[in-house]
Amino acid sequence: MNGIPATGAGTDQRMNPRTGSAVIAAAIALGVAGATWQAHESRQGLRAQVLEHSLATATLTSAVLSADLEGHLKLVEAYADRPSVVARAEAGDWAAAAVHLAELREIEPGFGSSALFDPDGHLVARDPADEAVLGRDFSSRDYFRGALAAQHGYLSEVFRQQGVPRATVVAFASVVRGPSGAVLGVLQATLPVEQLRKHARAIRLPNGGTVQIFDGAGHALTGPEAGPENTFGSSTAVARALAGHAGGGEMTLPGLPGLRLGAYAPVDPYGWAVVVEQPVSAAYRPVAALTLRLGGIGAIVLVVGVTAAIVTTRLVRRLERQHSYSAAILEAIADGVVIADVKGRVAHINPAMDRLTRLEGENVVGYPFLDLLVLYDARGEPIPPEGHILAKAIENRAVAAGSGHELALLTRDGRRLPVGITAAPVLDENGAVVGGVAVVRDASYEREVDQLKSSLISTVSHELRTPLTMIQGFSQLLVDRDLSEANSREALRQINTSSDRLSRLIDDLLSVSRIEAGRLAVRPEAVDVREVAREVLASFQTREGRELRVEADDELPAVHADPDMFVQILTNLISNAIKYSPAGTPVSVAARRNGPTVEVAVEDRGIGLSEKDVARIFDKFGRADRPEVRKVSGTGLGLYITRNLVEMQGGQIWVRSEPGLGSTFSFCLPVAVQDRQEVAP
Amino acid sequence: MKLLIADDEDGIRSLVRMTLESDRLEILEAADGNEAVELARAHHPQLILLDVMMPGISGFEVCRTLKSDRATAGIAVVMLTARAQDADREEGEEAGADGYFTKPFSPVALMRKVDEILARRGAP
Repeated sequence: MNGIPATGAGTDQRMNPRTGSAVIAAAIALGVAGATWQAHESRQGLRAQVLEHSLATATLTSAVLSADLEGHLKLVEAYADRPSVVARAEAGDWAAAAVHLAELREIEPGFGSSALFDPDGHLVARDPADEAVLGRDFSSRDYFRGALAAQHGYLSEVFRQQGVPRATVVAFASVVRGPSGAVLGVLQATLPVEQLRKHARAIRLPNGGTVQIFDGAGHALTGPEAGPENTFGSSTAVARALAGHAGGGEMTLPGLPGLRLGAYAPVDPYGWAVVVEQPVSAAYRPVAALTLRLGGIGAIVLVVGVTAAIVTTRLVRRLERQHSYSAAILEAIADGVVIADVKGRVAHINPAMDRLTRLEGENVVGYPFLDLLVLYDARGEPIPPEGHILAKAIENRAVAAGSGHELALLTRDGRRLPVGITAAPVLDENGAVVGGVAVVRDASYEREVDQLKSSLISTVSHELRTPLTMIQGFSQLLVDRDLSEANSREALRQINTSSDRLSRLIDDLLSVSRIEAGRLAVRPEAVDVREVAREVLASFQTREGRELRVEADDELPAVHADPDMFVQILTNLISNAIKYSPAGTPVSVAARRNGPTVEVAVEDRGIGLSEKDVARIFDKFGRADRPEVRKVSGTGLGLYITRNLVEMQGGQIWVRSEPGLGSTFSFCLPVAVQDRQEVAP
Repeated sequence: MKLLIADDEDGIRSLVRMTLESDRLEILEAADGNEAVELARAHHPQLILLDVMMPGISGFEVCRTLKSDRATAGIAVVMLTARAQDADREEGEEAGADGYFTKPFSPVALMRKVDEILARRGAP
């Protein structure tokens, strides 16, 4: 962090979670699309590869097969053309011709049999000899007819031989022609298809692929449906290949399940077909594997991406909330907060600060804080920059404070507002100072209290010094002068009175102090109101010449009160009643039961209190501000103390008064426990 | 000579009387500001001891009133107070007081002060 970013109404730098999610989603989509495309491409590529490979294989195989077939056919043709064979055939010396058949088979051991047929198709000679077939009419056979039609060599379809060895064979046949061109017979040799199957096995194909060979009639030489019974079925590929076309693609093949992928090629010039194929599923297996892998990776990416998106969004939202939360806290703080950067410029202020300085929305962000926080000391002198609280906090990397009793802040409308300031440096994670924060507190109330205290102190000191003056003064006179008897008595009387007065004031002040410190302990007992009231009144009686009386029922229950406090309450109220009423007017104390409490009312016919007075009378130094009251000495603490004493014992105090006519101060305290059973609901 | 003591506390008045009363000096007592002005105008004392904190008009008011009245402007006024703040002193000076006395005061000191002022005025 290189400092405090300026944040304000216009410079919101929060990250939009939607943007982040959108980016991540796009990335995932792209990845998946790419993988899919890649897979598709791979599949296509693989197909192309397979086809190319298959076609090449098919072509090669067909060429090899063709060569093989040609070789066999040529041999048979050659033998059919041999003069010795011709001569024997012409002579009808089939037995002698049979020697050549044996020869043929010696040259080509692959031939399973060889035979001679007369021009009508009767088998006249055979090697190996087979009596069962000798002489039989084979004129309808494909190889015989084919040879006759070809006028030379002919490759037959696949058929099942009747003679030995009974095998599935193809036949190579060729006419034996006389010098005149007359057909003398047909020479034929058979090759078990097994011999040709080797071509299908010559090239090892991957993925369980096979080479299939079909004869010109579409009979398969290979595969589960090999043999003259079956044809290629509906395989388009085979049909096309038999028709002389080469090509490839998806195909079906007889006897092979499912869709195959491969290529076909014709075996020229025999009209045969070679098909190189593999199951489609096997063909795409590498792609499938790749796809699976890609898909797996893609899925992982997707999951990770989505998770990341969710986490990021949540994180951003949480940061936003925190930011909002922090911002909300700052806005809510009732004291002014100023945040400054390390160069002394304002980075942020909260609404309370705006209110304190009466900025009314004026933008101060970026301006020196010294311009915003113009401070004056206790004497009203402006505080210089180096002495500024916030500057000191930043400079010294320590908390600095200015008292609410001394500082004043200049507001925008020119007033000097009493403030207290606490400033602290703002440190980053390495401990370097990146700025400072000042909390500015309106100290007007404190100042008021200060002034109140000063005036109270002067009041109290006046109250203390007056009796003290008299005590000291009169004592000095008594000591230094030779006073007359009358004067001496007067002097002593004054000393006495003043001592009492001083004593009471000190007691009052101490009570107040204890009340405020919460150190007065209530020790309640059952107090007989009538008895105590009489005693207290009696103590006043000796000094006053007026009527003081107690009114109370005999059945008045005792109250649950601290006896000393009760005495003090009564004393205060009676003393006030006497002080604030003219001499000779009566003062009465009336006590009566009121439900669960006992009410005591002290009534006088004195100067009374106005409504305004009544409101303040029980407050500290809440003396009525009237000449008749000021004339009488008093601290203003008496009723405050009395109120506290009453309330501490669980009671209440109030006054009814008429200015000029008199006052009745009443208080109530709870009835003592054992008497509560008598309470009738 | 006459001296007026204006103080709402009867004890103070009594103390001043006992301290200062003599064949040469008559003591007049006023219990509040209004009474003080009345007595001052009626009897023209040479010196007024004026308590600052009094009910009704304050001592400063009385001082100003007397000083602005040609008939009584010549009377020496000494303020009496328990408050010793600068503000009071300044106000006293502004009001035209000739002196300031803080309570508690010793009667001896009071006597000396009074003699001093009266001597300056010249004995009749």
